Amino acid sequence: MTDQAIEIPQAAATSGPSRRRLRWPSPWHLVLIPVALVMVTPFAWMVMTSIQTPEEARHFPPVFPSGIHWQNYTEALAAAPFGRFFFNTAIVTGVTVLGNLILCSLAGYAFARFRFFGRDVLFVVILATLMIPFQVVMIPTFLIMRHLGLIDSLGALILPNLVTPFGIFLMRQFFRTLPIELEEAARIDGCSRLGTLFRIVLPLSGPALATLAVITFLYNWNDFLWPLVAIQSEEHMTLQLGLSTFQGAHSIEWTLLMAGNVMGVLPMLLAFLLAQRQFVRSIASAGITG
Amino acid sequence: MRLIRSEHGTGWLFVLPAALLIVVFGLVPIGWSLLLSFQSSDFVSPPKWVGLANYQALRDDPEFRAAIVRTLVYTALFVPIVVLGGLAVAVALNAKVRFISIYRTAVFVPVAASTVATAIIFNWLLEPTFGLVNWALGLVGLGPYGFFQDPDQALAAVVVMTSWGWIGFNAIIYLAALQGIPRELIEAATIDGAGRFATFRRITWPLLGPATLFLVVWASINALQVFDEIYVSTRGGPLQATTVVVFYLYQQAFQFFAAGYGAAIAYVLFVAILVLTLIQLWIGNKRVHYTS
Amino acid sequence: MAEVAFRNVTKVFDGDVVAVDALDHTVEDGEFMVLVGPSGCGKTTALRMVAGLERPTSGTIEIDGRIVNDVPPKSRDIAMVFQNYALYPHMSVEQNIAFGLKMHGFPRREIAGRVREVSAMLDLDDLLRRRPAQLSGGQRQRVAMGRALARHPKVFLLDEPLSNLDAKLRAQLRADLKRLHQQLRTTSVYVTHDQVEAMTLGERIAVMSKGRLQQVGTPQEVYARPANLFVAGFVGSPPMNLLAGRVVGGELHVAGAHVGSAAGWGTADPVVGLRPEALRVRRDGAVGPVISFVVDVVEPLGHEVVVHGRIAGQEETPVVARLDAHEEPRPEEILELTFLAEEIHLFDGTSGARRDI
Repeated sequence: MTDQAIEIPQAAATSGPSRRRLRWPSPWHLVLIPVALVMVTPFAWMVMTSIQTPEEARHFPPVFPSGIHWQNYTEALAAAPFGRFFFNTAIVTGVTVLGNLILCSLAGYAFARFRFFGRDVLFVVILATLMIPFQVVMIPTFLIMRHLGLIDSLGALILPNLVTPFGIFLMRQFFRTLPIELEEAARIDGCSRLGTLFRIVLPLSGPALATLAVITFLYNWNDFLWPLVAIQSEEHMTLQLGLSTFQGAHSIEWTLLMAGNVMGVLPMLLAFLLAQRQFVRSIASAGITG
Repeated sequence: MRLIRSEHGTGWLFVLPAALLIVVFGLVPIGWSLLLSFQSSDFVSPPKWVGLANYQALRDDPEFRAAIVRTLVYTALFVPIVVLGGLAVAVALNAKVRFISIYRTAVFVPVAASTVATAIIFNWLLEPTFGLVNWALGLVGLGPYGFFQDPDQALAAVVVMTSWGWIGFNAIIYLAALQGIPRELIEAATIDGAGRFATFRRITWPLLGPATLFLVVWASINALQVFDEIYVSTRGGPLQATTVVVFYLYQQAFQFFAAGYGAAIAYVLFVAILVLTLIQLWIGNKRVHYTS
Repeated sequence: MAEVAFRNVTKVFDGDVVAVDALDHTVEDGEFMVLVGPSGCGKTTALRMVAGLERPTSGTIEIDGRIVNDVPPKSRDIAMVFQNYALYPHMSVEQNIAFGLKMHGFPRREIAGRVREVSAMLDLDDLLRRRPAQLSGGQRQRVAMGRALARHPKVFLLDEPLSNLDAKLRAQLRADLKRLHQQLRTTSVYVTHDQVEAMTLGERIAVMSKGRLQQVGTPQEVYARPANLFVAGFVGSPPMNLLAGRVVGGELHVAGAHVGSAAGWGTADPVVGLRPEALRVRRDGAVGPVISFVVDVVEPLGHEVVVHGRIAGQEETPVVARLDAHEEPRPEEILELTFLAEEIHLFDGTSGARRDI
């Protein structure tokens, strides 16, 4: 359009009608409010009990806390090493997430882009192990760990979870959706296979890596059965195991229990609230991949 | 594809760490477990070959049969509640209302609570004397109930507890699937004359097929393996009312130190899961229409 | 009578976005009306209001003489073809076509009959059992049309149905659409951003911009006498040249050429519009306004050349001309172009509206 010298005048649009119709609130709220309450109330009640005095907690009908009784928390911390539990869990989870990100990417990339002897057979075999429930491998894994002298150490929790077939599958599927021309250009530019993976492919794999990280994080942070079997001494317990033991020891000291539980739930809860979008996206895309 | 040349060496190098770990902690235990199931072992003395004795004992074991029944009852309750409930909640969360993101956060938040934390919370909520639930039910003239402490109610109470924990997960997946349905399809259906219900039944529901299949399979596998919440809340009781298969396995293997027997239970469970999943996938593939 | 009428319709979205501003316009019974304009001009919103997918903020929509503001889409007796086809992926072609009829309660025999009729009309017989995923873009579009046709509606609504197709298919389907309309004579409202499509398909076209109706008329009318600067620049390819005119001593000048008397115009400087095909190389001895034109880029089209250049001495004024191929213009060449005084369009310098003298 030859409008460099000419400005085309436009009639200013009239503003909309000043009368805006009042809308009734949607009937969906009638469904959503009860559902939301049901979901949130257990948490709320847990927090409230954790700041009540034991007498208030045992009051029937239930009452609101009168003040904040921090003693529950200090007593819980004194009764069990929650800091240690948190530390152990953080180590295990951190290492397994890192391990999965690296090893599943390596393997997934090889399955996606390489041709090598036995590739397809190996892939099917790896996938097949997905079908095996954990309880089947639980006992022999315990025996293996005992052989390796890793029982009652964090290594026993880390090693079996350092890589997962699901993670390999996820990364391979994702890599296959990337246009191969980028990697070809990198190779022509002189990049090695490893370099291509780390400099070109992985930077583009944000969503898949995030999903893998979140799923691995959720799984390992919340894992209970395996730590129950593999760990015996308190100093190596994970948060879940520690919580369960704590509950066993103080089964009717509700205020104490709830304080401990709040401390146990808080890390994951905070992570979820801060990164909700990523959590939701990861779970949804894991479901779609499944 | 041009770039996929044969690179046996590098290929194996890339897969080796992962493959090794999976062999050691996946394949070897799978085989060993099978072997164990034909042996008798107490974790200390050398294992003894007993052939099919473990499986025969399982067949005749009334406690194991009871555990199977309980597990099946639990699954039959858990799966529909959590899948259909998740769908209903997702439909509600898909509505265009104000504060919808707050509602979504509220519904998804239980996913962040671990199984252990969930059980501890519900131990307190369902406490017969001081718990919030009995108080609330009392307001409308119901209860009080024994919940975890009543053998007739314990399993149902576990269902309620685990459903609370898992509905959010199902809702997340269903919501994503719902949002993946192009708006134009719903509009076309509206113009074609379909009312709200007809649109859901003939357009939305069929298009949710893949998600439904995935969630049913997932929930079933999850239900058949339930353990954590039961261990922390009822410990299999009261009076074995909540002793499901995996709990029974745990007892046999790590409390009575019958490793071979435990391995046999694990394999029976595995076969059951496999068969059920295959049946579900077979039915699903016949009735689910995958869009490209 | 299936007339579609917009009576002073305005649509405001949340956030005070005025998508449609006081649209007052009637589509005659049996007419093929094209709503055309750039993206965001409100044409799709207007269409969706006729469909019942959006509600007017104020004003009424009438179909066949009846106000339909509160009537749900399924009761309006309309059918719509979507830009992305919106075919139900889990149903076969046959089921897709039949779905609307089933929802409206037609008996099975009638449905089968209509499906056959539509399938023959659009050459879908071999595709009836296939799923949309197994069809090409052009086939899907025909199924979408078939679904709309089967309903025998009073009004067809088409939302940029050809924009996802390649050029050849688009031309083919355009012809099909025109043929179908001549056969069926159903009132049709067609939305597009492509002015070529509008010109070739519409019996009348309605040019819209920023929510307001700019001009309505037959393609010929809109082309020959654009009502304002926007329409002038929008319709026609390559677009009309819009040049600064000057009125000096009662005489009109543009681009250094003296056009003629400016009696009746006044003293304000107008914007002068000249279509590229109105410019031609001056023959020796011819009288008339002369523009010195410097050639920049030449685009040969076979029978003619499109020449991009500037006014000599007014480097910032780009001008496009369509010249006969024999002229063989070359870059940097200076040509003397002339035009007939009757071929200029005059627009008010402030409001942009057309004024004739």
